[in-house]
Amino acid sequence: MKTLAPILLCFIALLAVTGCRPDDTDGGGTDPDSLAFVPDDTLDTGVWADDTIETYAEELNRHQLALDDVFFEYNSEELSAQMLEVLMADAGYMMTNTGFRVLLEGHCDERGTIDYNLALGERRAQSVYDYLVNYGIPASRLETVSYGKERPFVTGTDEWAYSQNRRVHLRVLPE
Amino acid sequence: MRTTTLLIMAAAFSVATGSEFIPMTPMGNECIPVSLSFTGSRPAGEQLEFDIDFSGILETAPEGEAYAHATVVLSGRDGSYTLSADVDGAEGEMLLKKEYSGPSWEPLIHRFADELVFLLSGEQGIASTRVAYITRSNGVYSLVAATLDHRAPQTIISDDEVITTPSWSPDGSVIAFTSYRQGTGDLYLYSFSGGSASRIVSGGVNTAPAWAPGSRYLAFTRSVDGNSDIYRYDKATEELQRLTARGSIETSASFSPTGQQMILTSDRVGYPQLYIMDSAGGTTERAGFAHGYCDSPSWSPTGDRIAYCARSGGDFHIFVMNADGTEIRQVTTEGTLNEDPVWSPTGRHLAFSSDSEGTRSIYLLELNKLTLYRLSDGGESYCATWSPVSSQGGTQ
Repeated sequence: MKTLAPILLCFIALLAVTGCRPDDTDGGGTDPDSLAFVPDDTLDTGVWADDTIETYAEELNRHQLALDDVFFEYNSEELSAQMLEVLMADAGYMMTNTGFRVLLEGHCDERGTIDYNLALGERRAQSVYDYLVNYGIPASRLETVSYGKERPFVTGTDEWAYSQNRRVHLRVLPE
Repeated sequence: MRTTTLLIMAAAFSVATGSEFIPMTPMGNECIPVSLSFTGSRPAGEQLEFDIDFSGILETAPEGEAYAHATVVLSGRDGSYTLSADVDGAEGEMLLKKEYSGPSWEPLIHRFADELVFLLSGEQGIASTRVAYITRSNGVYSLVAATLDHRAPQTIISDDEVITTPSWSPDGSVIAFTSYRQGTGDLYLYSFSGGSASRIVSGGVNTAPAWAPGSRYLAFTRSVDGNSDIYRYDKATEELQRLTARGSIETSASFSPTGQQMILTSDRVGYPQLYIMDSAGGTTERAGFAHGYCDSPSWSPTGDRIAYCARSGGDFHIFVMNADGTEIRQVTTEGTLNEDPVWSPTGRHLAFSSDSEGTRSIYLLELNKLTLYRLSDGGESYCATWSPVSSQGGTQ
């Protein structure tokens, strides 16, 4: 609310001064194809409407960048203290930002068998799912999948590559 | 592709020595010696010799030591070949006289080799079978079926989304596999007669299908609540039945040749181990205590052995044990990731994937002489499944 007041004041001032409404600034944010851009309080000249409309795809991308993946130890689906912090931040973000869903993709490194890793990746995805639901994220916003070691994030056979592939990737999906 | 693939023979990497294996032929460890007189192109002659030696039950030998002598003449050119074969016994008595014809010579060579195996041993040969596997290259996943000479690998289906864990039905008509094309891991059936793949099980993650004898029931791994259990799919009624209901991971089922039991992987003790279970579900019995991590068991078609993958010294290797858990023998010794062994339909061979030469590839191993060669070339290849000896999809 603290930041909204000056913007509103500016908006009213703008209407008062120019006597007309700027396009596409109804601020509702519900139309997924044309989410509103709220001009900042330094704005004093007109803007091109198509420069200021944030598309839904861009918004999803912004959510994607805000969510961090969760990493695991070898052959484990335990959430470490460090990863719990990551997840808490992800959960907090999801609580305050809505309008998207998240697919929890379980992945494993290649030092394991195909069949068991497919099951292990599912268990990793489920442990993240359980955390998020317990935090208060509606289950309807979450979905799980396991890729086992079938679609590695990083190719390579060193410890760094392995550690990168032992993860649950939070993939942002449209609502 | 066509001419250069004549089998990167043996010595690609070492395997365990033959003496570690129990006798696999009617003559103990000895194969039935056959002498061969071949007239025709050199690649065809070499292929016939290879087919005989790789059968695991016959071997080429000088005429004086042979139990039988085969005189083979291959004539013709692309589009029309004829193979004439005469097989005589050691005393000169006629055992077989036959002619084969077709548009290419490879199937004729394989058919004769298989007939020779049957004639002299009473057992089906595998020269005409095929091995299917997954290839991953530049983000494209393909299910490929290849003849054992790899001269005509056929891409059955491919996709940008993950395809994995194929399983060829015992009647040869279909291959079951997992695809992420429409969901989070669904089961599909590719039908050779229809030339198309259709989804049969969806919802949750559905992987690692394995056929029961008779090609009606499919055991597979399904997770709808974050934990994997074994389910059974009935191809006739399209009904699902849950066979295990534990908090642990249950996966990687493989039926015994009678269909009465299956071997599967479970991590109920904290790490993946092998268990034998009645096919209807119910009680399980642990099969072996030798390894800290094992998976991907495959029950031999002869019923007496189980091949599997286990972690050994930080690497993954192929092992074979008796079905009662005794006589564990390590099959691979090189590479860091040897995986997913499957038996040939006669139980004399294994197909598996290995990274022993760098890129993960499919290897075939004949267990009597321990002849090993790399089947696949180019692209990362894994998850082999062997066709039956005679089928619509299995032979050409």
